[in-house]
Amino acid sequence: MEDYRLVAERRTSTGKRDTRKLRSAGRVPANLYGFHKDNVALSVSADDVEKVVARGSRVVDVEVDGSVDKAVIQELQWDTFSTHVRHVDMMRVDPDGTATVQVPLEFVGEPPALKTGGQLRYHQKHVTITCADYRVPRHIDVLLGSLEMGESVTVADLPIPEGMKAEDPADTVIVELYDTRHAE
Amino acid sequence: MALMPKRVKHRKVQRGRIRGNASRGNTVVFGEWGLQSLDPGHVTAQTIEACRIAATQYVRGIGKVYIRIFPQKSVTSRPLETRMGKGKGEPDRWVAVVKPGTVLFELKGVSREAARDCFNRVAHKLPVKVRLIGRRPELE
Repeated sequence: MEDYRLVAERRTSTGKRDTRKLRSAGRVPANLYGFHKDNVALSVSADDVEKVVARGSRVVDVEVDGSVDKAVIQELQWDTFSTHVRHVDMMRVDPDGTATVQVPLEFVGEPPALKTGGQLRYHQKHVTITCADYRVPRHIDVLLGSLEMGESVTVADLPIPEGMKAEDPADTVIVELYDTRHAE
Repeated sequence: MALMPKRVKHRKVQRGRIRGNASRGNTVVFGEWGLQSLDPGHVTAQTIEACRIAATQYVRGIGKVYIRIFPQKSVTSRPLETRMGKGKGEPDRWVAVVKPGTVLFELKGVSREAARDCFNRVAHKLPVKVRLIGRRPELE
């Protein structure tokens, strides 16, 4: 997935008065730091920030003076009424960095067979995935709505996002729906 | 029964001035929809109770109502037909101090339309202008 390119300008003056001027001119003060480089005070367009918020992805490509850094938005400061972003904190990340992490599973929906004597048996509530270390998902959804009696959901059935890889064997059972009337 | 503190250090306090906007309690935390104040003001315990009843009756069985304000402050009044003087009046009611931006109530488990309808009933009982807000967008 292409990340949003945030074109930023260096900010030489800091302080209350200058940031207020900046905001009234339709820009948002920002900071970029991390990854063994100096901290930079920046300003970005308020429209761009709105677009980033609307996309919902915290990973952005920050362009400053022609050079592009991959960064994650660490914090957004909002005004009292939650209508405008007042400040953006961004941390540079290693574009090639990967991590192997356990991601929690979120079970969504209820199989209809639960009402006819079925019962869910959960085997695993986490899945191990390898992905870019700046794009670790908060959770992975397991859809249970269409599960039939006797069926199970395995790691291969999980909607793993693009660019990520499950480390658990594909046939590992996550959850199964069994019939309590014929249980051994 | 209307909300009131269990115990207070001082029964009578000065009213003070409500200055500035809310810097805390200004986001939706427990539910999905919130009723945010746009004006400063005092909301009495009786008003909060009336709003709670109106909201819970609307969302009964489908959603949950959260009250985000509490009447901490006592307001005194003088009995009718008494002369001025003879000291401060007795505590009459309890009020919540509301600043612009304060989230007064929250709703969980209902659609936006239902929340708007519900909070419309609540807003008619309140002494401040309000608006419907959702949660702040979260970045993944």
